[in-house]
Amino acid sequence: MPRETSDVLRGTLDLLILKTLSLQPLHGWGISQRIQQISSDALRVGQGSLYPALQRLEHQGWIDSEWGTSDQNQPAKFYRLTASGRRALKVEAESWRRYVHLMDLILDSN
Amino acid sequence: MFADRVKGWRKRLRSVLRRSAVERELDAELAFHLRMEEEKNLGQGMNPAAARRAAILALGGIEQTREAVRDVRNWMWVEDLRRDLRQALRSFRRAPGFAAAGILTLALGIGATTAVFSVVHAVLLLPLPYPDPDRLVRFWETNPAQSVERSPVSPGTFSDIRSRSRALESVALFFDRDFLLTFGERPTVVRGASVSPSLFEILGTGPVLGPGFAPEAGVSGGQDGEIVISHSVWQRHFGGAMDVIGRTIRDQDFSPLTVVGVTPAGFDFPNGVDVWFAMHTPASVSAARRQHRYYEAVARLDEVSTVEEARREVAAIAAQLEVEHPASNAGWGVRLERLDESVVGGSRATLLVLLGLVGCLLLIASGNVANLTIARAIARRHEVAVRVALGAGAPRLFRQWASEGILLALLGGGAGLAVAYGCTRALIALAPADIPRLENVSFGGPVLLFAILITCGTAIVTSLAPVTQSGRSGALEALAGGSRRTESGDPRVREWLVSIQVALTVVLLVSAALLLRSFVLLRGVDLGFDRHHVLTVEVRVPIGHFLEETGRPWFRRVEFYDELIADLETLPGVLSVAGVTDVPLASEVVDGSVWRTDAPGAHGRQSPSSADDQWKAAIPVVTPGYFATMGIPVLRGRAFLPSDRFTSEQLSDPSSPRPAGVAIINKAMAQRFFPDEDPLGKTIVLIEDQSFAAHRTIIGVVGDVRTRTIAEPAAPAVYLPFAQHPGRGLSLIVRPRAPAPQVANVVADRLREYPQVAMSEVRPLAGVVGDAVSRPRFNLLLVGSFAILALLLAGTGIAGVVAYIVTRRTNEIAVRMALGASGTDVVRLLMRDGLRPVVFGLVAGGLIAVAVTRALRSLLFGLAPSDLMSFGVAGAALLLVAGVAAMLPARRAARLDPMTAIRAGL
Repeated sequence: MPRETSDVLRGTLDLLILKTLSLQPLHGWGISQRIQQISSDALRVGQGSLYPALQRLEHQGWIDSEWGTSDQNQPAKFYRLTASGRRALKVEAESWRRYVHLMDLILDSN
Repeated sequence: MFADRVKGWRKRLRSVLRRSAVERELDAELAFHLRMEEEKNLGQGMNPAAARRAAILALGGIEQTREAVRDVRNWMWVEDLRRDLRQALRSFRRAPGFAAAGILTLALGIGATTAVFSVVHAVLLLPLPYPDPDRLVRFWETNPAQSVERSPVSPGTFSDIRSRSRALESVALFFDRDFLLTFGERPTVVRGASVSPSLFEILGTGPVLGPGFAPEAGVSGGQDGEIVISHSVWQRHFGGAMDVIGRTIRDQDFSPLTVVGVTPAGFDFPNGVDVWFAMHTPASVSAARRQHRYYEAVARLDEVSTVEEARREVAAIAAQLEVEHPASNAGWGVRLERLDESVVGGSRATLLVLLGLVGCLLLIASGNVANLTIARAIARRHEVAVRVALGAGAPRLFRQWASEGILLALLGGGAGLAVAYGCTRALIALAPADIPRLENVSFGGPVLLFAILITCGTAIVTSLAPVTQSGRSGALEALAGGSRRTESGDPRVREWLVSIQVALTVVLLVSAALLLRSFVLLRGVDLGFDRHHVLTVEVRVPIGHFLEETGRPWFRRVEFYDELIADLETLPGVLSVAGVTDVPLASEVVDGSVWRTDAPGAHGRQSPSSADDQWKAAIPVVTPGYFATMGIPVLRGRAFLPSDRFTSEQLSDPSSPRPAGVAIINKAMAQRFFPDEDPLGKTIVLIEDQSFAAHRTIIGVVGDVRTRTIAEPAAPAVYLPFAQHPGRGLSLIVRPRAPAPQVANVVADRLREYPQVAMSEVRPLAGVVGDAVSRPRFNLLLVGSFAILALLLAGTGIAGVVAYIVTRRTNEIAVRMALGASGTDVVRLLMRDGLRPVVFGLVAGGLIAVAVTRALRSLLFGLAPSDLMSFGVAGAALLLVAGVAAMLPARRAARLDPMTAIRAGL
């Protein structure tokens, strides 16, 4: 994806990452694969969007990271959701649903 | 959860401080990501090269990724800041009263403090405009036994120091006085100085035009026809013409003075002079001249010596001179000071005190704004509770309040700069003329830096203040309370704030009260003369005119002033006119030496053998009508009469023997030097009078007049009749028949008809006296304004706290009233609680004031810093304002309808 500047789209990616990490801790590549998987290959997150988003979320305190080893015994940086991240996920998800509902209403009205 | 936030912040910090480590981590992550993608492709059957290529394509450029991450890092700060500030701005627009009050209060505090600092910086902190100013020193002679702290030096002491000192690399003498020069047609009074030629070299300033003085200039004694002029004289009288070198100006006796140099713009050492003459000091000085102490001295230290070393050295030389020349130097020492300290002098204490007091005002203003932000935070508890219940984190709320506080401080600081600018202009306009270096005041780097620093300080206070309230957020409790009026939270912080504000206000009030009483005492001093409605004007005529007219200039001068005074007395509205060489409190008073003709060792012009018999006294020269015109009482004997005069031969023929003259002394002189005998009929000799009279008989004693400053009691003085000592020009004193403003114009017009006269403005003598109190008045004005502002701010703070207590306890009040408590009971209860922090602050403030006002000692006149009445008045004023401030909200509470209040509360 090209570099995002709009809040809404940026928020979408953040939400995706938070949701993905809510199931289990993952490293960066793992996150991108999982998103691809869950969306049935519709969404592909490139490095250029993923890593900036990960840094942003980390600096906001919503995710935490630590270096571990991957399945293939390679060193990798694993991310996990923090307590505030969990809360943020709930809040952001709620406001996203509200937003979508509102858009539906508007688009369906004549 | 806050911990998560903090962790996030620490990571942010790390990404800035340990940038390379963080970037290496990212690279490792990206490399890992790439390899995993490669492996996936391999797993799907691609060959290694294709797998790698596909992976790279799919993931996008590494460098772009790095850039993107870096951008996020950079922009996050800015984004957050913008978001917070925008939010803060929006919330201000919803509560404009709060925002306006906060910004105004801060602007006041920050502006006033910055203004005072800009003056302090220009006067005290800026180095002198000469190269290497730390090596410049001044020295004086001292005589502790005669209470002389800084006396001008004698040429003997000066040349001995010059030849014997090692630490002082070069020294120069100077003395400044008024000169009467004629540039074009009319003569003008110009401030000038006779200086050693080495002066310019010592100060590191050479002329911008012309060669200046040669090192040996002035050898022929006095002015040898060469003059250096200032930049402003060059502009004003020569129009900045480039051929000014070599042009002539006429001296007082109309002899020509050749311009040999023009100084750079802004150079005006010493004391704002405009012209310089060369003066030479011979290496050896006669014993008689060793006693003439009228020169100022300045010197430059050599490369290796310190001020302390130089100080010790000149003290040692002074000790040697005491032994070598006991007649002139016994009891005299030498004092050495840095030039920058001596330039500033007494202004230092004043300015530092003002800075301290305005700092108190700033603290009080910050306290008020902190109170405001707390009040607002409390008022929004309901809104906050809802947001917390909906999931907003406390950190986000903290950040919102913090950014509101910071925005408030920023806006207040910005407005404060504008206030500071205006205040600085006002300060400079009102400042007494004797605060030096005010022309250096500017809003440059250091001043702006100071403003930024104190703005940051207040930002910290105002953003942290509301945080103290949310410790006990109890969101559920707030929601369940239902009513908007139910407030929880800790009142103690606000009460502490009020106590601190009150304490600081007490300090300001006490200082203002002390200065006020001091000022009133100063104004009430009996000056010894009647200044009401009297006018004064300086009238100088170059002696060249008198030389031209006759060969007897002194006599001609006496005649001239006689005619002039008679002429002015014919003017309508003028009652009497008199002349004096030194107008009290206006002119500098130069002391002369006096002794009794029957003092042991005195003979003719020979001074007495003992230094104790040589008295210092002022020697004002007056016309006969002076004492009557000035309202100075004649206590014994008589005033001067027109018959007290010398003939033209006696005045003008230097070869004829000096006649005996008359003199009148003042009460201080009679008490000091003739304590047990009648001074009338005794004869005295004055050194400065010896070209006119051999000795003088005392014919009268008059009342004391304060001449130097209002605060100093009158020093001994010997009055001489002008007709017997026409050595200098006079200032005229004009007493009108009835107070009328146009008399001044009439007098000025008549004086202008004399083309040979250089005259100053005709001004009321009361104005001269006003100038003499200009410094105490300035201090009073400033500190008084601070105190009044502080009182208003503190009052608002107190009112706020009491209002807050009222809202907290609305239910309780309502219940009490329903149960029969009267309005007065309620008011009493509320005021008791509201004033508790005030009383605490009052006592604390009083104690602090006792310690702090000691710094005011040098600014006070006639009372000690621990003056009880001032403390009492200050305390009473504060209690009054506090009482009113507390009573207003309390009374409003007492008027509540209990039933409505209870219903609303439950």
